[in-house]
Amino acid sequence: MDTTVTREHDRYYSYSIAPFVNLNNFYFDRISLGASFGGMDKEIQSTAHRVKEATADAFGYGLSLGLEKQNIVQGLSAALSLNFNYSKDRVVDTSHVYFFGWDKSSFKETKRSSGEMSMGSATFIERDNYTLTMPWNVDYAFNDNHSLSLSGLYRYESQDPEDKRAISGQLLNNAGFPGYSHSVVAGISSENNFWNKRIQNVAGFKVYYYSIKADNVDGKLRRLTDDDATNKDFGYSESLRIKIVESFAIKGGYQHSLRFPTREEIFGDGMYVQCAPNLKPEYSDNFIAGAELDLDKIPLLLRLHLEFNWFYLLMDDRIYWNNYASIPRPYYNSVGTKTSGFEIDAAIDVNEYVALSFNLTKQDAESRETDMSFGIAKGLTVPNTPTFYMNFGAEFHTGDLFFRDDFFKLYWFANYSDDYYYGWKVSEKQDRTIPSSFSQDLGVEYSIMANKFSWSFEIKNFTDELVYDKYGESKPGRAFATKVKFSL
Amino acid sequence: MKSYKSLLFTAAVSLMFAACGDDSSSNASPEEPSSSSVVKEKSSSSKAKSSSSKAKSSSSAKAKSSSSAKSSSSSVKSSSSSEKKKSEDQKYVLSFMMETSQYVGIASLSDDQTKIVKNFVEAPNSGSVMYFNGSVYVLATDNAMNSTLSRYEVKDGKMADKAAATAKFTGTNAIAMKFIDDSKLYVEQALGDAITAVDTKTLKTTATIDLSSYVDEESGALSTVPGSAVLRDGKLYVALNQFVDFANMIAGPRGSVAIIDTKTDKVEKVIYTDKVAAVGGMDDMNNTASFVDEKGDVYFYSNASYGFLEGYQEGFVRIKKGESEFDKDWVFRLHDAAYDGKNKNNNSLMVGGTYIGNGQFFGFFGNFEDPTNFNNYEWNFVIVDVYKKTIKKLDLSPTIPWFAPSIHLDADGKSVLVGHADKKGGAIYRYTIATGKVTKEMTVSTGTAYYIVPVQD
Repeated sequence: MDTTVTREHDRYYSYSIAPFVNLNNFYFDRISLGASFGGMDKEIQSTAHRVKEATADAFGYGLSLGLEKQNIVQGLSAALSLNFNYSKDRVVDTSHVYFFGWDKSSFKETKRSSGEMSMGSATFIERDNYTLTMPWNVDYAFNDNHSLSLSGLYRYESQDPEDKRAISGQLLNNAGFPGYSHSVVAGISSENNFWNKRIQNVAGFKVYYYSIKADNVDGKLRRLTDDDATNKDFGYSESLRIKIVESFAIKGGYQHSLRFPTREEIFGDGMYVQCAPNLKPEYSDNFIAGAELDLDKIPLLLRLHLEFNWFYLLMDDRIYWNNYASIPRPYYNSVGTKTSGFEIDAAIDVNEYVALSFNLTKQDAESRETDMSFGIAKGLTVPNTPTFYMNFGAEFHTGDLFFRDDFFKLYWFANYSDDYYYGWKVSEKQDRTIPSSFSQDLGVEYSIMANKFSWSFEIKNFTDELVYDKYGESKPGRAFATKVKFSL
Repeated sequence: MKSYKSLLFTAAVSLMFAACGDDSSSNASPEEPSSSSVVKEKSSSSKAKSSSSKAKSSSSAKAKSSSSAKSSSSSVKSSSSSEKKKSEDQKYVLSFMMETSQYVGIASLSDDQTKIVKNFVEAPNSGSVMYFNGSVYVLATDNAMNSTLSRYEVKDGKMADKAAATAKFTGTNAIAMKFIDDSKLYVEQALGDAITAVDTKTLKTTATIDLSSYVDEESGALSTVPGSAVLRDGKLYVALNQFVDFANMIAGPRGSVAIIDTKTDKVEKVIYTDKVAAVGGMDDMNNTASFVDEKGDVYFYSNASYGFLEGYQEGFVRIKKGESEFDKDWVFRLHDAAYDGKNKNNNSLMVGGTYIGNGQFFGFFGNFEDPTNFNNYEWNFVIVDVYKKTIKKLDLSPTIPWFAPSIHLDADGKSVLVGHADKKGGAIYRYTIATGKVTKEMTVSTGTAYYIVPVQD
């Protein structure tokens, strides 16, 4: 039986213009002033059924200011930038026709808009977004081997979503809650090199703070139970790298980090995603150890880089929401997981024209505790996570081929992913898996004027193999893509 | 875009009187079962009779033991002990749910759950599991709302690893089914405005009942969304959920039921009531949330989309025997009933449950008032008496809301099996109807108990 489907409705345009000017030596070493304008317009495509009308579009503009100064006093440098962005985006799905699967003849037509992305869920949502970011860093080098760095990022975000259908009489408001947030991440790190830089140690400490506020709006199934949330915490890291000989080094490290819940995770959407003001951040403790080998004076090869990394990751309070039951509920902190494995990287420059690359990852992830809310037992393999995958490729490149400062590249790239389980690994008879897949891409790229103007063409999955994504959704078969880039 | 959410809640009784071969009989009272006799007429009329008489005796036994329970605890114990032995011999189609999957197989309740589940087959969690005439039927839907109906043959108390027959339903989120007789099974196309009749052995389509002309556009509905269904006198009474908002699972503002002649596979009429919002549930996966009592009256419940919308009314409504319209003079609003020491409450029944006779419905009761406590076990098993208009909470700790499909009447009709979990762990409990006692039957450590369907031919 032929199960081939043709995915249409996948046009996508985007553009951006970002002029800037650098002013040097006006007290600062560099003052950057910039502006940006961009837009996007795309047809929405579903991986599960035919969609013919749904679209999304966006436009935005921004302003930026950057300041840099070296050697304020001996060894002290600093940089600060300020970026403002405004964007407006829309998702429009107001079709009166819903297709069951890919068959053009199997559909349901309704008198009022029913939407086609999800049956009976017509959407016309418009969002105004304002963002202000301010990254900074202050570095002080005591000498060539010891330095201290203070860095951070302040971020303000404001969102004002509007459900146009609710305004025109729809029963419920499906846009999210409007609101704003402030967040700051600041850290200090110390880099110390010893023994002629054969030993490098980097230790860091970070503080995190955020405050989020949301406003109630009419037309929601549920009012907000809390309209603000504040959280603060800290993280730290330590890494050590020892160069045994010039071409061989070993390394190890530990990091305690966290991820704060997002606005939607905390406040929900007032509909099926409920408010969760007590949601905790996700925490992770990550251990890595590895080795690197760099050789550049070996027969037949220009350069060889080999890297091996072992990792052991512990996650706690996984922020989780499952949509399998039609019951409104909040995000919550679910079971912790343990992931261990290794990865191997290899990069070879055969000569100045030919390069080869290889990457392999093997990992095992399992639950560390029991969560009776969803029946998850301790010690089970985490679902939907590939356990073994690799990619490898070859590239031919040359410069000054036809003109000065032009560049030509031809490449082949292959991806392999072993099969893995769709659900938690419980039964010996479990055959609901995401099958293994192997795909190959071919591409060509040519640029002139030192990469200011470039054109690329790529055939993805040129052998047209069946390739799967998470949850077994099939990725596109053979696909063609081209891109033109121009920068002043 | 938020993906569609399919529901899982229901209780299953479809098989509890599997000897009757018809779930309405199970819902139904032991004494009603014209539909069960319809089922059995084809295969074994004598069996049907014995089943019916067995059911009757079970009903009277219930009454007797209920009255004797107070005066003679020893007789209760003795009865419990023999029932325990019996339950050890009884096999069940068990399903354990873990996030997006369920694991299905056959076992006894005395087995070690952590071991048996290692030999169970996996299916998507959204869907029904039933046992009928020597086969296990699994109707499950994936994230794209494509459903697969699989029939696994059972031999020597074991379920085959591979399905003997399958049928596919594309994009319509079919998750509920109803056995009509030995050869006919109705599969409800929740989003397809249709009910498909399939052959119970081959699962090939034999008829399609088109519901598209019954969309309640007057109420703003987009689709009929057939759900809870019950058989009476050869007619199928199917709740039409009449969804007005799919993204938020909002059903219609008034009750709507289609009456289908199961011999001709034709819709006779669609009836409406303004006393409550849409009745039944699209995700009544065991198709037991509506029932027929001993008098032949059909009952439907509306949870009024869990009370999220103003103006939506919850409550039980009924269609009296011999009638083909809602009873205009009767409604039972659970909100107005005393519960848990208070004169009123704001809870709703989750879609699911089972009728246990004498006007009593075993259900699952709670609300979503405190979403921050959602995963913290706040729903309770209850017995709703539609005759006396009372609600009684069972002596079990509160649990999480997705245990409604686990409510099953056992094969002899004398007890109800339920899945349960709290912070201490998971289990399957038995509620003995006559005594009102709750006993633990199985510790569940891997997944949560989802379906507990008695295997009985």
